Amino acid sequence: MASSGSSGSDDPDRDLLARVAAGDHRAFAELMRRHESRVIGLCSRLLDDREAARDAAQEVFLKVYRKAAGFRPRGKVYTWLYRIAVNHCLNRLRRRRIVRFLPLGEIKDPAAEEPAFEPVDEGPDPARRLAARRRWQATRARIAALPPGQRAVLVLARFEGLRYRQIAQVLGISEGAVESRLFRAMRTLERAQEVEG
Amino acid sequence: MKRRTDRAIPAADERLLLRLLHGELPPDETAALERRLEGEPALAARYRRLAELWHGLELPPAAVPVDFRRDVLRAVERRVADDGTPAPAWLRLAAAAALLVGLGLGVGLGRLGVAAAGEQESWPVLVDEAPTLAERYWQSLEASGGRLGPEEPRR
Repeated sequence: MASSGSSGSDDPDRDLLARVAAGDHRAFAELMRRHESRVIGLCSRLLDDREAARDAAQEVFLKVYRKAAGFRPRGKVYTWLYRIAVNHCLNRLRRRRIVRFLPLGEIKDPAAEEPAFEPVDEGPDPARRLAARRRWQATRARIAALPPGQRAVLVLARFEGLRYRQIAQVLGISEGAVESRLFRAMRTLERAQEVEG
Repeated sequence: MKRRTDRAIPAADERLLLRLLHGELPPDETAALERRLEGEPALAARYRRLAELWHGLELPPAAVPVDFRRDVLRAVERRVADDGTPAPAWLRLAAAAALLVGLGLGVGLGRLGVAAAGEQESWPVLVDEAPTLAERYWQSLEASGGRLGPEEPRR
């Protein structure tokens, strides 16, 4: 889980980011090494598409490089990084929704798209692997059905392990709004599960 | 349909349950809610249902693609080469201010030019010099000695 606290005075990424702002590529590589797994995971879960997630994560790090000089120490670097990633993915999701409404062109069937995750080998038991795949598939489908705002809150809480306060900082909303979105997301997930039977 | 009846608890209680589930309740409120859960079966059933739903959300860890870091670093190098070194903020501000001043001057001078052109159109210089048709008529009448019509050939 991400560490809490927003003072950022003990943030080890702060110096690294200052070096990135000065054009230090080694510092940038180190910053990526520390956060690439989180950023790619977050993009994968929000976008539900492996290639799109890879592109998005790449764009996120390019933005980080460009904006490093403009970082103002109001919070932790990872909060800032998450904000860039979430905003980038939400913009992509909104564009994707608009594209779905367009009558022209070939529309991809979401169900036929490549899964966002490579299932890991859970051991020699094929039945267990199959059951795990089914659970992941069901989770992906339910999360994909959520509106982008609810999806972001749910992913940050459930899979990134962020507290309400941290999610509020990342998304730039109040803690009350985080709670409301989670509440609505849970209701939506429950209805979806009831429909599935 | 049993699950639907589980949901028949006040929304405020359900929010409390979610906060408990997410570890967001302060210790005193946690203790109070746990006491209620022991005494209220419907509330406890709803909590179990929410917990089942929450923990049932499972996804495998996403793997970092091979060469991801190398690709990003190359993209950064390409972009830096394309963009050049970004100008400092003060220089960008100064450029923007200069552009605005230039635009302002351009618009001001343009307006002055239009005004000057307008003056010329309303006070044409040549109008005094050009004889009107009536003046030309009277001039020709004087020249012909007061006769109307074309001049008679002299014999």
